[in-house]
Amino acid sequence: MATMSYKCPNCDGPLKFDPGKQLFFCEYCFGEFTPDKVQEMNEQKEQRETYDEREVNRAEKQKEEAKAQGVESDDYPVSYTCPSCGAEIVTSSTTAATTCFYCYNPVVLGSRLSGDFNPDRVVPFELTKENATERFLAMCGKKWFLPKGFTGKQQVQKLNGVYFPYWYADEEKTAHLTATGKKIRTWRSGNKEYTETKIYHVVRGGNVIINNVFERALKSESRDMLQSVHPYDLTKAKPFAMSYLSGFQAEKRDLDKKDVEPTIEKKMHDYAEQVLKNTMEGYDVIETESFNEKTDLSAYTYNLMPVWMMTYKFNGELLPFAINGQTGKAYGQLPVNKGKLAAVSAAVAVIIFIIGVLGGMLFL
Amino acid sequence: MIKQVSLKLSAVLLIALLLMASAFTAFAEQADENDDFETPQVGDVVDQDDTQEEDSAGYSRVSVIEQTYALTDDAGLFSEAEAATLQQRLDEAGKATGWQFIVHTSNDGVSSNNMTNHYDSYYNSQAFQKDAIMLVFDNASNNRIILTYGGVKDYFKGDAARYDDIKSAMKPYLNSGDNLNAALTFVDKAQAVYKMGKTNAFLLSLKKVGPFSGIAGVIIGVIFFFITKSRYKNMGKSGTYDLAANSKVDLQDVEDTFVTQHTTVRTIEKNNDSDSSPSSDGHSSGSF
Repeated sequence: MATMSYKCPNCDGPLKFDPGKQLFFCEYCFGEFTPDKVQEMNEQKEQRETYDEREVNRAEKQKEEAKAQGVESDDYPVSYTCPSCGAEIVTSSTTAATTCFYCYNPVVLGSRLSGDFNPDRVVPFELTKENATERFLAMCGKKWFLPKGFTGKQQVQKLNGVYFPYWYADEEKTAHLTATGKKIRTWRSGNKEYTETKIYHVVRGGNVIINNVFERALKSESRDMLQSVHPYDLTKAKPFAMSYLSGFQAEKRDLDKKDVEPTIEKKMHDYAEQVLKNTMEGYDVIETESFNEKTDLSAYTYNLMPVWMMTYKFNGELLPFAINGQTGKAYGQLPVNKGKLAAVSAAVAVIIFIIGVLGGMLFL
Repeated sequence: MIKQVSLKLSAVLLIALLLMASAFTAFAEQADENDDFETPQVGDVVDQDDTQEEDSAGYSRVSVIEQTYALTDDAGLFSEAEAATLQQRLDEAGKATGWQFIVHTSNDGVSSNNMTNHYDSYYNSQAFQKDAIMLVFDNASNNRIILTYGGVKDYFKGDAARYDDIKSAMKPYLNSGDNLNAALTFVDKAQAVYKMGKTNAFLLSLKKVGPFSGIAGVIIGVIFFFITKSRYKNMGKSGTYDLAANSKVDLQDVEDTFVTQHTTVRTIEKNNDSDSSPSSDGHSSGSF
């Protein structure tokens, strides 16, 4: 299977991307390399390794086998060979980068991100695992009702750096909005309150540009989680290079542009109306009479975004927790120790009761 | 010579004594006049012969103020014998409790709303004891009220049931016009309240405020539970897209045309919270 392992040119040790320094480093000889340098060193190898007929045939065979076994989704298991130790490892069919479970070397499954699946851009990790851990612990520190041991070492070790796939869209539209605008003024004179309402016919039309409207490109993960880790600063996005994935997990998309287009177009439509509405200043109420728009230019890009994430099982439920790998924004469904919360809620109720009774003693 | 001087001195002394005696007599007469004040002093035993007037029905208007009790029957509701019986019982109760038991009857014709204020003023105008319980019969308006003062208030404070108990025990006698037994029942029941002791502020509050604060506590506790739970469940869902930062507009068509205007008028109602009805400070039974 076509796998990539980025090696140190000095000692042949595995290279990993350091989000803090935005450099690749070798944990054996401590050599540091810029992303450009690593790409330059591995350009030929990437081109050679990312397409392998044998691998494609093998993947197709595995897919057929999965279907024969009743697996309906595209998330079927696929095996690969670790380029460092030769171990046979099984991953999900959407996994594009991972770590070998035997030798712990980072492995990029190049063919998963080639051809139509080649991302346009990648936002490299800026938050190190330590930063993400600190944010996680700081946030958990304020939560009294987490189950015991939730913030323990074992839990923190589960924090994984994952690149998730997203569709991003930029559009230029010609839009036209007609609305009724109301200016309301209220004043008092004596015991009378006067309300004056002035009604205007308001029209706005012109070119509207809306950028970076996004939608997840991976249906197998929680949509809430994938959408809520946003926003990312796209000005820091880089043209995609596979080397950025080294040392992290990456998922390839399993949703095509046509799958997300209706959702994105609906958002674009609403945003365009909102943009024109925002130019109707000075009105207290704006009621839309008619809105129409036409898309003049549209550009969709496929991007990989960094997320520090973990999942944990609590009371039989699998809960996700994610931190934006660039900005540190956190999303998650934290588990609640219901017994402890119920006890504190009961204590709150008792305190209210006691305060009420003591107050009654003073005022009765 | 000495005899003459002695005689002169004796005469002077005699004159002086006579002058002093006449002055004393005048003072004594004035003191007697003071005893006729409308406000008798506690401890002064009012001469019943002077204060008892017998009306055509044979009822006397007794007015007695003692340390332990007072009976001022201005409406003449009690016969002499009844007054004596009542005085004896009032005195016993007063001695047993340390309170002053007051029974006052009048023909003032006070409306039920003003009973408390009116008879509080009456109490204050008399030299009654600080710790006192007073039963008033307003014969003209057919209203009655029980008022408590000083330390006696602590036995009734916040517990209307104690007043209600006395009133309901008196009711049958009042309905049948048996004022004596009504007054005696008042004394018995008030003494029973004394035996029950002061109202327990905690138990009272527990009884009166407890259910409400209990319900409030449960509601707030439940709200706290669910809000906290939802805050754990839905973290970081907002602020995923900044439209202002990701959009541009080039306006080519801008039109703001005034169409019409209208004005509505609303009359602001004044807040009449200043209710003039008298408010009880917790020492009145409410007229009955």
